[in-house]
Amino acid sequence: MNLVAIGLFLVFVALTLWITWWAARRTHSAQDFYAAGGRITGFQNGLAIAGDFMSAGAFLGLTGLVVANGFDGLIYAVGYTTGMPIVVFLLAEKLRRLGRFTFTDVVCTRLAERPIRVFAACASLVVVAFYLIAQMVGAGQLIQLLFGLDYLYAEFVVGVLMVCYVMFGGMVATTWVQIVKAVLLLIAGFTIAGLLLARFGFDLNALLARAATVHPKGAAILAPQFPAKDPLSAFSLGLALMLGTAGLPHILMRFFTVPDARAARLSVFWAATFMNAFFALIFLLGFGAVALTAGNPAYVDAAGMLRGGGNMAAIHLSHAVGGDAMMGFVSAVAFATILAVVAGLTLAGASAVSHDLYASVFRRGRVDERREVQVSRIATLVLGLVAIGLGIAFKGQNVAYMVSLAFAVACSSTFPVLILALYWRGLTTLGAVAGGTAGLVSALVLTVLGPAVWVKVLGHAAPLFPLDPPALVTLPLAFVTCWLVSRLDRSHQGATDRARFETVPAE
Amino acid sequence: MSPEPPASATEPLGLGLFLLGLLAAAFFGFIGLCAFAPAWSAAPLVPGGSVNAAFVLGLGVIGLGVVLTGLYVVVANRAEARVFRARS
Repeated sequence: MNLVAIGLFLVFVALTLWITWWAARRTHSAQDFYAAGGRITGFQNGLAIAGDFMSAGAFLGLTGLVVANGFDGLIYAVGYTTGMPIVVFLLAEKLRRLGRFTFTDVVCTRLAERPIRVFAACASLVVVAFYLIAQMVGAGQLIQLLFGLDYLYAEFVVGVLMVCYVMFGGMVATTWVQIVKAVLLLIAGFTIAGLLLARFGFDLNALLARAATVHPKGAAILAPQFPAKDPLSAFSLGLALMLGTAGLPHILMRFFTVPDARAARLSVFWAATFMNAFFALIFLLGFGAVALTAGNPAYVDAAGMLRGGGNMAAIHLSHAVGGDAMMGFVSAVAFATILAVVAGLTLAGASAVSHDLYASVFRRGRVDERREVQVSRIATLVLGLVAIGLGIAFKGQNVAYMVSLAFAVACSSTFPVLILALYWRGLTTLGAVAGGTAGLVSALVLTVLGPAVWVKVLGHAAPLFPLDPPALVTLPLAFVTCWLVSRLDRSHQGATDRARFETVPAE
Repeated sequence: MSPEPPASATEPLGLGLFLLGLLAAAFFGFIGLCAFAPAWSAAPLVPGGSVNAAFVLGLGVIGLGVVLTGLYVVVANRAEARVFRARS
């Protein structure tokens, strides 16, 4: 047991719980619960969005991916930064203008409400589930490493804490926790990077040379490897990372927490600045982790595997440069990160159930806000249990990689429907539901049959579908299906959908 | 919430698409070079050094994202401010 690290860890977790409690007292209406009352400023929202991105997947997962695969891990880091600019170029303004709480509200301004809400809720839940897996696995390994707690119990601890966060705080709480955490994580990242560079006399070449010497794969880790071996998967990954962001429900939700479109745009700029700085830092942290942990018996076992699992590279790095205190601080920030991201995700999932399915489809809008928030809290509880189960099933997976699967699903399902609804007059309800569902189902099925699940979770020798992620196939499939079905749609509803494109205030 | 002018008046969609194209070209160019010119992307920038072209390109794409986003936000927010002024 590492008492300094554990002490610091508990202090920070208590701090974030206090923020949740403080925010909970300010949550009065459904507008507060989902959208923080629209009172968050652009700068604050930018930090919160950056916080959503600097998740366990980014910090723990990417560092771990670089330790395992070298430069290939950084392709993920670069890819994650390309999503947010697309959101501001194409979506931010229109979303603000048309929506209330979720991107689904936006699509429903011109298409038939009930079928779209059912589709969007399913798609949101699948995306949220993949994203949740990554956070749960990261959190479980962290608690296991720090407290020596069994992985199974660690998962339950994380699950219970996450439900507490969301149930009592809602969007105000998750936003504030994200803001505080984003600042702490940036401080931690830059401090580690500074200490790391000081170790090597501020000579980047010396750091990289050291990493290449101690890593089992040698100098190969300094250059990209997998794109040359499997170019199709590399482009598929690029597509998923670049366009997936624009379909992530928990990110799009954040555009409704600021007072106007101007603040929404400004928040994207701040988000891009902070998160891109952080992802650039991963270049340093990843290879620093290789240089200082590979071959060091304090951090790797006899077989050369990182103690506590591959996702713990960043934690070991913080210990290597700053001792127990740094490790405690970084663990606490990483854990707060995970809780905050998980809370945001759960909230997005819960609002899909309570707002899209329950209030709009099941009750057809005849429901009071109090009841809707209640249903949202029940959904949160169920999602918490699902997250615990998935976290246990996917134990040992790299979390940055799991997040990329969520991106693949998002860019094949919600993204095509949203972009066509905003920009293409011809889209009909039938086309949107058919295309979105085709993308969602194919992305899900091909991910299960691909290397991600078929080989790594189910233990088969070779995948039935080689592309990993499947976005290169499923994204065009979704767009073509949307287009084709809309074109062939001769229904009365179809005619109404096309006509309503005119009256939507965005155009 | 403050009243907002119609999107067509403020949203520089053409600029958005152009910047989108730039960013996509840079990012897929980066992936393409990694995939089809691995020897080039792995070559050290200075003889005997460890920093190679892939580092520079990767960090370049990350930096470009911030620059393009900033550019777009400045243009769009100024356009919107003009519309508000014209109204009042």
